Amino acid sequence: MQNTVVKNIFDNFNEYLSKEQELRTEIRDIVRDIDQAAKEAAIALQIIHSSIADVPGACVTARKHFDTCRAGYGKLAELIPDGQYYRFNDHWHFLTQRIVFLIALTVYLEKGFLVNRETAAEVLGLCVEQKDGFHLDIEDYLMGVLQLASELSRYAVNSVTLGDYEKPLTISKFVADLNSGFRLLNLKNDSLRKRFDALKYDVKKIEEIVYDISLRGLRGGETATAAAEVKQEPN
Amino acid sequence: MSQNRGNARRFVRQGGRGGGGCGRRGKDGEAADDATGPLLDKNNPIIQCFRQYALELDAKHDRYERIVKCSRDITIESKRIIFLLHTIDPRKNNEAKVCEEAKNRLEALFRNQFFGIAKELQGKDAYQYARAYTNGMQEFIEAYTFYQYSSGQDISDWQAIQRRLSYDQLPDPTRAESSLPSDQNECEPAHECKNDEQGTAMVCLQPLDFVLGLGDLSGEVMRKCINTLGSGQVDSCFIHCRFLQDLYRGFVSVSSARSREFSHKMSTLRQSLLKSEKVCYNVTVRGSEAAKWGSSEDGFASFLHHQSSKDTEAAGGDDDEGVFF
Repeated sequence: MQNTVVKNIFDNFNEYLSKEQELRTEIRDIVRDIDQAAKEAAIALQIIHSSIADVPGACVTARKHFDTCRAGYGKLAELIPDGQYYRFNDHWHFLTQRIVFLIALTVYLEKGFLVNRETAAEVLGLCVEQKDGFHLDIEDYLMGVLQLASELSRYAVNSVTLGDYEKPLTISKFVADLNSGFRLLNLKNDSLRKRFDALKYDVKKIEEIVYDISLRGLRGGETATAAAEVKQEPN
Repeated sequence: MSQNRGNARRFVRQGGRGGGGCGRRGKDGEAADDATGPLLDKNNPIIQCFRQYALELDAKHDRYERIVKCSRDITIESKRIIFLLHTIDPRKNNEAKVCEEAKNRLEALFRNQFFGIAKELQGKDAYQYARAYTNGMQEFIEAYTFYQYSSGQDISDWQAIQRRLSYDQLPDPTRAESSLPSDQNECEPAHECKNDEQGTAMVCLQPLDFVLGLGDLSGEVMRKCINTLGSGQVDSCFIHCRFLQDLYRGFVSVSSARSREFSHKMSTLRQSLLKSEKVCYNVTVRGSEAAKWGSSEDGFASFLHHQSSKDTEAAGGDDDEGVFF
């Protein structure tokens, strides 16, 4: 008797596996499209390291690619059954982190502040709350923000090279805020914690740039006098 | 610059104070504003957002830990139930009693620990926390199927167990124990897919977990096979062995499980299978009494001795092998 029972169980299991396999294939196809769009946005944004004048244009291009991403996420949302987001999210969570990073970079370049989770989710057409459906996972969002810090440290170096001595100061301020923000979180010993540990090197790198600029008096008019005042105070 | 860093550090210290300092932080921020100018205003949103994120992450981690705790309890109790089931001994004729007790303890797991997990998972994505309870679940499946196997029932498939893990409503935890009789679990399958609706909670049993649990079951059946040999019940050796063969055939039929654990289980299952097949072989070739010695290493010498003494009386030896079948 057990013979047929066991056979039924495994027939069921195989059927289940093949169904899941099919769904995963479909997911992979969609994810590949989103990935392509994200790559194009990343390529467009690389221009910021070589030309200051092209930054607004790069942001516009990037935003166009985000629209493609949003369409892709819409398709994914339709495909994933309710309450099974985390069953399949290994297919897209690295990708989502990268896109959040790109969005955060774009918003920073445009407006100079940190995109919050709601806005980032909105750009991708996702929900914020898990119960509302296909959502932006908080850890993906935070990972994306951490990637932003690394990119900004590079941006600070290159903006000095391109003759913009103000940028590193604002970036330094921004990254310091990010750093204090992350210190509010109680991170478990997971990948997010590990990535966060790298943040201090970005902070350090940017501070060194600010130091170099300040030391040589390369800061812009107003701040330069402010710095001079500060220097005089101890006397 | 040094001013900027000072501000950042102030925020850090406030963070350490926890949620209570929220109102005061705003004040401090304003006071600092006078010194550094309007730049600081922009920072407030970041800190505010991150406070929110911190709450959310903490809630998630706490929930995860609570589920892990339930899962550990399930693991421990399941191991004990398995141990209990191994005490079934036909010589003591205690099968009914042991099965009854095992059944009650399994029911208690459904009522308490799994109910606890279901409550934690209510309205959540069960897969998000699947890693927290996968071990407990596998151990439980092992215990449950071993109970069914030992008491002579058919092994249920995962849909049946999944139904039992779905809880129609969530009464107070205080009333939970009395208000969830087993017949209430016979809810219609429609409830399965509506897990995120109010009032229905369930622990998601992943088919892979179920199959891995079945893989563990093989080890227990192998032990049972050896034990029955010890107690002289030769026929059931063959039954157990047949079951393991079926199980192995099932595992072989699985094409792609995408899991390292699965192939690991399979090689263990193969070893169990080989062991019990050897037992059956020994029983067939040497008769049950000889096989009992042959199955343990230190008994081997005495077995050889026995064998040689049997050879000497080979003429009359033909019928004494048949006696034990």
